[in-house]
Amino acid sequence: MTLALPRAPEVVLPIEVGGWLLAVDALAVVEIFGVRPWIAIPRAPATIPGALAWRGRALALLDLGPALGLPGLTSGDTRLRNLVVRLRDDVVVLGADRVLEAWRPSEPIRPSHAVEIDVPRHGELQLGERLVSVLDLETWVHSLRRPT
Amino acid sequence: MSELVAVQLGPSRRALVLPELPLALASEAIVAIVEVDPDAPAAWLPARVFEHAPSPGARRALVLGDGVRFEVPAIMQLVEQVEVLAIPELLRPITDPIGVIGLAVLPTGLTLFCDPLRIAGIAGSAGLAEIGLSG
Repeated sequence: MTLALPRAPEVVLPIEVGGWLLAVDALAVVEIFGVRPWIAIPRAPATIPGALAWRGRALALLDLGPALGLPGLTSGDTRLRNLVVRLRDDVVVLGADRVLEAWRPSEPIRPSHAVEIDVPRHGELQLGERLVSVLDLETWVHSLRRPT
Repeated sequence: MSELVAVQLGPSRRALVLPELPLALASEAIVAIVEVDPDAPAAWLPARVFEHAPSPGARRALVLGDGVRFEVPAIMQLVEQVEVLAIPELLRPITDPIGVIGLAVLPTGLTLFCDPLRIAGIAGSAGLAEIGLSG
């Protein structure tokens, strides 16, 4: 199977997780909701610790914490914000502490130099005085899949 | 002597909820709920699903349709017409081997929904008795 190279987003949605400033493709975000109970899945990796209910279906909950060197979620409530993200062949929930205003960058996304983030990225952008790593969630989720 | 009368469960999709775990079991897989019988060894089901399963306290045995037995906590509740949400595809490789096929929407919140017949390795109960003997 060949995968088309993921396109860098035209509009990004900055999020904060544990003090990290990141961004995702704003057009892939279907909904943002607040704290919600979730259920831990036994033996699941820390990056996909569980699932929650959304519009009558269960969605996998993704946690960036471990990839950023932060503690992972423990059972109970989610992070303060949750982004429902539509991918090519899946819909997932991504937890964040804060969501900022969506933004259409005037400059192209530059190659990323940050090495501390263990998540595929399209590159980085300058937002004020801060660098924003633009995450490539499609590639990340694909890498998390295990063969059935 | 056994005080618990075996409960015959019908074919309709109901859930046997084990609130101490918490876990809901697909009731159609269960033929009877009986006293633990030392002569009919059974695996401790929570240990087959959870990484950190509670130690066995008061127990009952579930008899499945194929004759396999699992021991479970004695406190259980039969709930009719439980809504079950399918496990997301991303999590299925993790949940399939432990028989978790969905999330049960209970008044108390989401609970793992498990079909005990799908727990990996239950076919051929010789190995099963070795893994989970208790009491």
